[in-house]
Amino acid sequence: MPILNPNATLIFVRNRLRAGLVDPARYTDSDLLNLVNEAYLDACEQTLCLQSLHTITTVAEQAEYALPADFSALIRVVSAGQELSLLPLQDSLQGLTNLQPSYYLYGSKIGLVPTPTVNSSGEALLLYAAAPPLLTSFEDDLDGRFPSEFSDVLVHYVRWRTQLLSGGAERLASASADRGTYDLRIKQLRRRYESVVQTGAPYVRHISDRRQVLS
Amino acid sequence: MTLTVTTETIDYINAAQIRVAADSGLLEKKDTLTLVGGEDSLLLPDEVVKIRALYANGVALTEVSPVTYMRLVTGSPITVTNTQLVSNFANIGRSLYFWPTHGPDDITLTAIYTYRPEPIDSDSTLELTGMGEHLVEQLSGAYFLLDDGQPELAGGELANYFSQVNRLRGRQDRRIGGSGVLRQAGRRRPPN
Repeated sequence: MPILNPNATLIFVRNRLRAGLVDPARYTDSDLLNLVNEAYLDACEQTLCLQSLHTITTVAEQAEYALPADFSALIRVVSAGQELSLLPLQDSLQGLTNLQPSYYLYGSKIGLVPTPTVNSSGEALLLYAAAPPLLTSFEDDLDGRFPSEFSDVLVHYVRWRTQLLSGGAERLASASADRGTYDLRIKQLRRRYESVVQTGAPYVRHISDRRQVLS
Repeated sequence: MTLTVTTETIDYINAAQIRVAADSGLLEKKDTLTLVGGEDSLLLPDEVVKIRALYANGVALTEVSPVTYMRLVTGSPITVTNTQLVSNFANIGRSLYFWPTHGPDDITLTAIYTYRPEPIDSDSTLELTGMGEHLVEQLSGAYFLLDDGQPELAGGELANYFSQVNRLRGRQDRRIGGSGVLRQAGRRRPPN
């Protein structure tokens, strides 16, 4: 029996899509790759699975700092042992005093309120979700933080989109099935990254109850 | 009768076995990781799905949430030379972060974790056996049906798969024990 080498993840995704339902006459490999990138981005944004930690070294009298280049969504900000709360943009630049430590976001910037002083400068930690890198070919690897066992979400998303565009009652039913499977897998992936925010029995019970609701 | 095994078949089996291993937690191993002196984080091997337990110098480290870790680091930015004082870790992305920061000696950690199996490159033996092997067969069959345009049949296979894999995962989770914050869902706290 010959030794057969398995295909890399994205090549397998392409092969599954080409297995019957995604017509190569209508969708070239380039089109398919664009759709896979769309699926990859959607899955990462919905689940916040590409989590990273970023350190901001605060400087006295400097309020605003650049966000990481791959920034997609902010999860938590902590400074001096305290979690910062989000400040609405309309309040952020008013110079309000006596506010609890907060932050605001716009564009590629994060601002800290109150502005760090000589006495308060140090570090702030950002827990954020990164945007996935753009895939340039099917030989590329998925980001290491994206669990390989969830690569099937790419198949279901692309198949859903292409079947929907193709039309016809049978294809619409198939598209609906793929959409349902995609949503289910996204929910499972998102649940993996939901964690206890703070240690303590009430929060353990909270997670336990939420799992019962979601299962 | 000669069975023809194609690369396509191998791919389906590999995809299924990785998912079964991750969903069920059936594959567990004990291995060592090294936290380099002066560093406060290490990158997990690709095969790791979830850390079950982590020990340093024979003492169990406590897993904390990412936010708790961030509070500790920014609120108590201490560095210790005694490696036995490194007591907490958090899993963020593919990295483990430790507190307090230590230096300059390396720390050898013993980790028990669930892992993804190596991809097979022939029709050789799967790492998953028994019920796990059956689930691989079921899941790869479901993938075939989905790609063949038979979502109804595939749905039946997948429903059965979810039912069985949830049961297996529950059984694996109950073996963790302990009274830490990450006690698994459904386990009651013993009366004081």
